[in-house]
Amino acid sequence: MTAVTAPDAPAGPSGSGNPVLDRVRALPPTMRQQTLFGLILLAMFVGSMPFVAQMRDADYLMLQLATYSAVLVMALGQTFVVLQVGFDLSTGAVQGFTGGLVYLLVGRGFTDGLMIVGCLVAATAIGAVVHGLLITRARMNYFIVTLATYTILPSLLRVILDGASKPVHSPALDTLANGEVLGIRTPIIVAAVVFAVLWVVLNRTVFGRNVYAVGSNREAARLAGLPVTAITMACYGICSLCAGIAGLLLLGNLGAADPSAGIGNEFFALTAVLLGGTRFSGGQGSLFGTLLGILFLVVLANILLLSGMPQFWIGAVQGVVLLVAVGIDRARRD
Amino acid sequence: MNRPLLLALATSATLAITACSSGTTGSSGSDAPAPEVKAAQIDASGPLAGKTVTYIDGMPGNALMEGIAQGLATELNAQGAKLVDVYQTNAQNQLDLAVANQRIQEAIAQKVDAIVAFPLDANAIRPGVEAAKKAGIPLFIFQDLGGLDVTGKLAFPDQQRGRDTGEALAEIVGGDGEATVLSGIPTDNIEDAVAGAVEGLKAGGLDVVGDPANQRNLKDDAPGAQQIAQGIFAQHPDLDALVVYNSASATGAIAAAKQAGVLDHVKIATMAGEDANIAQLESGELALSYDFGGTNYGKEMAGLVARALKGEKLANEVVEAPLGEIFTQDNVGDFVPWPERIQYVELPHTY
Repeated sequence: MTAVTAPDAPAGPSGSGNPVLDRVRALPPTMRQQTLFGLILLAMFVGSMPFVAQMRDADYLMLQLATYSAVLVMALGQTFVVLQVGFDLSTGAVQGFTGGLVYLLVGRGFTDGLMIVGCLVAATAIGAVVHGLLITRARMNYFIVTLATYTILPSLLRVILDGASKPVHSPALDTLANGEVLGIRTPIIVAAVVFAVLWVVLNRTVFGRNVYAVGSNREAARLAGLPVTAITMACYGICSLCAGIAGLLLLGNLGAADPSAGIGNEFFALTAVLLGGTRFSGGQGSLFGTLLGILFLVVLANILLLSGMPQFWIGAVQGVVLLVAVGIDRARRD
Repeated sequence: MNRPLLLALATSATLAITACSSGTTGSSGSDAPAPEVKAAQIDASGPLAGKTVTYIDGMPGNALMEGIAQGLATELNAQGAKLVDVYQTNAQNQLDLAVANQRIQEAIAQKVDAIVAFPLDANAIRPGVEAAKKAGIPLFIFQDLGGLDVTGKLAFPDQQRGRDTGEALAEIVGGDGEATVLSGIPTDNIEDAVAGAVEGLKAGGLDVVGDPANQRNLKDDAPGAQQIAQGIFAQHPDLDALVVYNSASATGAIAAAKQAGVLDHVKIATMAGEDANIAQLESGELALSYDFGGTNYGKEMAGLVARALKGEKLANEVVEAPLGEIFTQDNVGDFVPWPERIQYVELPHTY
């Protein structure tokens, strides 16, 4: 009889004689991979410190974390969609579109609180209702559905903004994006809260376990009586909600709604998700891995930019890093 | 369908209706009401009566392109010619280099009397230029792009615009300190303007630090500029002045300066200001905005087109576009939005 090992089960003692190595080997595969990834990230960061002065500057590092908090929130939401097998191509478009909604609602005299709730409800509805229903009920491919919104939303945004950047003043969003609490920039706090909430949802609730189950084998999950349709809709809803939060952060940060805002961020977020070890085929991955993926990309981008590397090469280097990281992961799993 | 789903649907529908009902004039309380756009009035008794001119525009919503189109329309309509405004956008509504040639071919097929193009790339438009020449239709372009054999060109004073911006910013910071330039995608006009800005900053007594060729906002939007500006502020903590190449980059640079806590110290200038930058100027976030005066570019080009349509033989005729105007906190009250300088009209986008 063949023994079946759960994806995250310890690999068992190897008896190498090195207690540290043995302990690492005893970790579940996902955790082992993330430990290794974390160590590479740390080595890269520490290794760059003597050469890049800004990597020793705590204020600069916090500024970078604050800047990338929005895309981290977006990537956390994307992790849910990828885990249940899918991909939301429209997250950057939702992020930008949220800016257009803020412009409209502020212009119509909505209070900050109502405006924020309205934007987040609308963003969630785009994911849960539009994407969710079309994918689950109309059985349209997730790529086609989200490609359509990726095209539609920027177009609507241009209509709303009449094609040009518009200044928007919202004290609440200004505080959310540019404030500080106990010396910590507020976008970092927002991202930390989103991370904590989503971590609990994914790791400590029945819904979270169901997301992994649907991603591992959708048909088996259906036969087991799981509400697969509702889970898929909820994952797309969470993803769009996160993109909406990212949109609020971006608008608060810029103080303007921009017709091209957000576009391109979806790929940055997906890169982080995949770098963090979440499998495109679903069922495996974690929010912590996504966090590591973002940190890796931020450190890499800063090292490349601040060390004076020609800008035109930076995208190529990031793409190669993604290929190498995912390739190594694939080879290791095979 | 369950109740939460219905609620979500109702909410999204309400928001969609709200969005659509805003129309195209915008509705933010912070904006002044947009001037009324009227139907085009073509003077049928003008010297160019019955003539049709095609303008191969960029994409909708670009303030400079729109200003140029309106300037062209104002002058040509007054002389009796009709202006058809077509965009260089593809089916995805994105700017597309290949579309210019297609638009030129369409204009040739319509037997228009003249074509005016805003080339996105000198090489990409070459087949269209050749086709127009073969068809005997005069073709004019904005920018003095080398190697294109056309009827006439309106040269942009990009280097001078950059130089004027740099010098004026240097004066604002007192002629002493460090400055740099945040550049963009390396097109001819951006490269010329950046080179001019570096000259102007130096001439104004500032030390130019950093490398503009490696400080490019390749995304061409505000968030892209914000990231590059963060790097600039981190690498040059003593920076006093920053020139950016376009309007959105000013927004991004201001956000970065705010985040880095240097907005009170670093003076930021844009070499291509739009209305949004005027609000930043008024609030003190921006030190200087160079106003192209895009409508004047359009009027100047219309004059060149009219000369050819009235029978003057032109070949590679180069006319210099008028210089723009610099706005600072001292004269921002004098700024008049472009749509208030001339009457904007509804432009036909089909033949």
